[in-house]
Amino acid sequence: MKKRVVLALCLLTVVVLGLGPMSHAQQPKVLVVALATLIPEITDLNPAQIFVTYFAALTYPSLIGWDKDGKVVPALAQSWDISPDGLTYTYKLKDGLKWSDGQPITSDDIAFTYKILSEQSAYWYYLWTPILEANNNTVTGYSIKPGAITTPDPATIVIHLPSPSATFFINTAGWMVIPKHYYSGMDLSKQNPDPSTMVGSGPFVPRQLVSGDRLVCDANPNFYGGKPALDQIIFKFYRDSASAEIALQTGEAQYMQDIPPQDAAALAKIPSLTVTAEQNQIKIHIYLNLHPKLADGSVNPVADLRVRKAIAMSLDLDSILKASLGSYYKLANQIQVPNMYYLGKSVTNTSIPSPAYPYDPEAAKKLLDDAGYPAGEDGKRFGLTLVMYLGRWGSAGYTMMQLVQSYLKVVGIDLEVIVLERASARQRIWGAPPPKDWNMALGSISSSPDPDVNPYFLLGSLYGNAGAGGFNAGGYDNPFVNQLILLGQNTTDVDKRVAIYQRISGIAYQDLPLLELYYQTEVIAWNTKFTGFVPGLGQPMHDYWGALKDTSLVQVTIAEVAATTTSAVTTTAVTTTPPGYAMDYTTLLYNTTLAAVLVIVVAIVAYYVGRKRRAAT
Amino acid sequence: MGSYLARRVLVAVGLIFVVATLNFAIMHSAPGGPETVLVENPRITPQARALILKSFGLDRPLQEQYYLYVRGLLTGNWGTSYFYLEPAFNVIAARVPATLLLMIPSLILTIVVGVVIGVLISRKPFSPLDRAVSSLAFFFYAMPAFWLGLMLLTVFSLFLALLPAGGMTSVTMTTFDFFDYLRHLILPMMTLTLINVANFALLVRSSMIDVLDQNYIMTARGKGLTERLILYRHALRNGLLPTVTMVGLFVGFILQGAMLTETVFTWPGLGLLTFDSILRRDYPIVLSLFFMFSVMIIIANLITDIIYGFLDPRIVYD
Repeated sequence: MKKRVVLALCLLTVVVLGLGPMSHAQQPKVLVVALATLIPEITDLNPAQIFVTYFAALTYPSLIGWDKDGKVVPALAQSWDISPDGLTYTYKLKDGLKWSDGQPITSDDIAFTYKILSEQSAYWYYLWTPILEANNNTVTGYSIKPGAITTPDPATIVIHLPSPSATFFINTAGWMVIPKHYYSGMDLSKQNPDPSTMVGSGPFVPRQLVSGDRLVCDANPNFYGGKPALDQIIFKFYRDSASAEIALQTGEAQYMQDIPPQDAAALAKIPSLTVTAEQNQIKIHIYLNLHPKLADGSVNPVADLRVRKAIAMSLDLDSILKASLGSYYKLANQIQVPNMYYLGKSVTNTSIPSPAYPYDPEAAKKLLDDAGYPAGEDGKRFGLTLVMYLGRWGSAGYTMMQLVQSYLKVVGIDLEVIVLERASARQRIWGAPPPKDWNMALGSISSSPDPDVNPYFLLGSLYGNAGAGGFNAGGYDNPFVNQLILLGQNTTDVDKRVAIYQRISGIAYQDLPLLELYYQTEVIAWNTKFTGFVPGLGQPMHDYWGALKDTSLVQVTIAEVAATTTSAVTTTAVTTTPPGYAMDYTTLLYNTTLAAVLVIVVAIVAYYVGRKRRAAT
Repeated sequence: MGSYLARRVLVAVGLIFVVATLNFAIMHSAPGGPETVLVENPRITPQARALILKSFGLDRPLQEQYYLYVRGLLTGNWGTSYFYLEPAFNVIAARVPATLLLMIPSLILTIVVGVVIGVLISRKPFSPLDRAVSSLAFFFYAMPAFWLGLMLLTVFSLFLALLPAGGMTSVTMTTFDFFDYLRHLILPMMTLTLINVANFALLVRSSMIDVLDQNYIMTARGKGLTERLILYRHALRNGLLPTVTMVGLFVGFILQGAMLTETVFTWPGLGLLTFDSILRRDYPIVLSLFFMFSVMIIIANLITDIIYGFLDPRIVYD
């Protein structure tokens, strides 16, 4: 007995000590960012190996930046000049630029960056295509043409192109500049930088990466935009948004973006949080398989334009999106995102209506009849499959597709929605060789701040883009559009170039290779203890969603006023969430407790009944 | 005994080989490879994708990859991770301590509490206490670990604000602080323990009931020994034999058993690494982990059988 008492006492002591007061001994100016959608690894700090560029982009600003409206502004470069014939680019660096270790940032760093990335980065070498030549001695098989880049003085870089390219400026001047004195001599295809010694020029530089757990970044006093008000930013990685949101609510994390829209309403109710929304450059759409037959040889009804139009007209997109995303979306009607500009001029094709196709199930039925798919006795015409995974749209995407399913049922189409794990779904949608084994697939694209990206990757069939592994999953193959795409890449005249992309958007609208769904509105939340956030287009070249702007990170600081419900930043009007989509923990707990109590009561009753029965026999 | 041991070892080696081959086959038949994860970025051209596959060695024929894999396992070269660009062995070794820190206390607690509870309720089978505790045990045993973890997180972290919301250490801790670690350990350990204790307690209970039914126990009672003495001196030693098997299995699972729990609490151990690497199709890490897990289980099984032979004089190995 004594032993047990002693044991119990020991356990109790441990528990009590463990539960002791939570030490809120945080450093005064640290911001903890909760990440649920991307888990960086050491390779994401390696400029040649990264494919999620978010962290490296915070560390290494580029020559140019973007403001909230998507217009190009100076960053490391104070000015740039493109010769009238489009063949010579001259960049002038700002005065007094320094790396975080005090070394000056010079034109040599830019030349080195371009050289090392084009030779060692399988992911990004193509950005320098206009000035590349074949070279069997490099990892990528390419290197920069000798003489293409010159550095007449430490503050000037001159680049010579053989022929004009409209995308070169954004692609390369918008790319992160890495320090020559740190990376010189390294083979970035085999080595990673050591976070504890990293050198950067951004507002915060990585200092420690705890694999799978967090990335700690220290403030860089040499940032060209000024010394940040915060001392540290810590990115903490979670595997699902539920855990991340809990951390946000307990105050362990103070900033989170890419929050699933269905959780926004519940978070907005919490007084310590400010919830806002920001339009980013991501478009979500449904790929339509354009091959006449599927992989198993069966006929693909979607290959017929009339069927595609019918599908578009049988969906009330606004209602579907509202039911799954609340107010967090912008209806999409064309291939380009709305905030897409070239040198300040918008490429949006305003003659495309919104919604692109009117909601008209009767017209849809007629089109299907015309296409040769009459309704049977039970109203069914044919079946289709849609493949998806729970990507950036989360479970709301599944709700969305289920609603699409019900709308299609009305016109006699039986849609089977197949949800797969990410890699499997991606293999099936993009990796598999055409003609693929699905009729429709849910996908998305994140643009760069150049109008070339969406058409090239969604509509173009150049360089195998419509084949296995290509992003043009539906197999759209239009030689005229291909020509327009190539023309767009080489036309530098603003009006002409914009006209080209508007034309492409118009063709895509008519050919309907994709069912455009929505442009993503990102939900962002932060703890009211912090102010100064300016969400919006940060480094859209690198970030796939409206990320923390470099310049705003400099200003973020702890608010003087104690956390109250009002704050200087506006909250977007959070409309009523559709029932069942707000994660209401209180109700959940009540229900669970009730269920448990019920079970126990039933068990007790059953026991006593059993006892009576046995006593009777 | 010697020949038995030799036979078992031989079978174990064969088994490990079969499992390793199956693992390879399964991972490679899962659709999509590491390059499909990269489609996150639309600007990866098919040529770049081919280049990346080449750097991973995935463009070689499957037989060649299999040969390299087996050779690697035998020579201790477990390949280089696609995402860490470091030897898989190093990546895994770095995460082992975190998992052990979670699993060992959990294992100890499970055994201690499980035995105590199991013994307590076996004294009067089908009594109200027994029924209540058994029902509760079934309740927790049937509960999915992920859900239980999330519920505990909600209650203790969100509602009561008593415990941290995940992770192994607070983000601001730069050195290892025992109490900070303890505070972070409680919830994931509770999740694991609740489920495993239930399992354990029920097992102990049923084997103890069996033992307490035996004639020699009746004799002991007839001799006038105290209930406590009977329980702990006579019954327990025999009743715990099946538990040894269970403990052996647990120990075998010690490195892999916490995948779902680690995911909920973002405990940076092997479970989380397994989860991440499978989703990313990081073959070297996944296959190395599976190999390591299967070896551990097979060896743990072997050792358990041998120990069992020593503990139970009725068992004779030939």
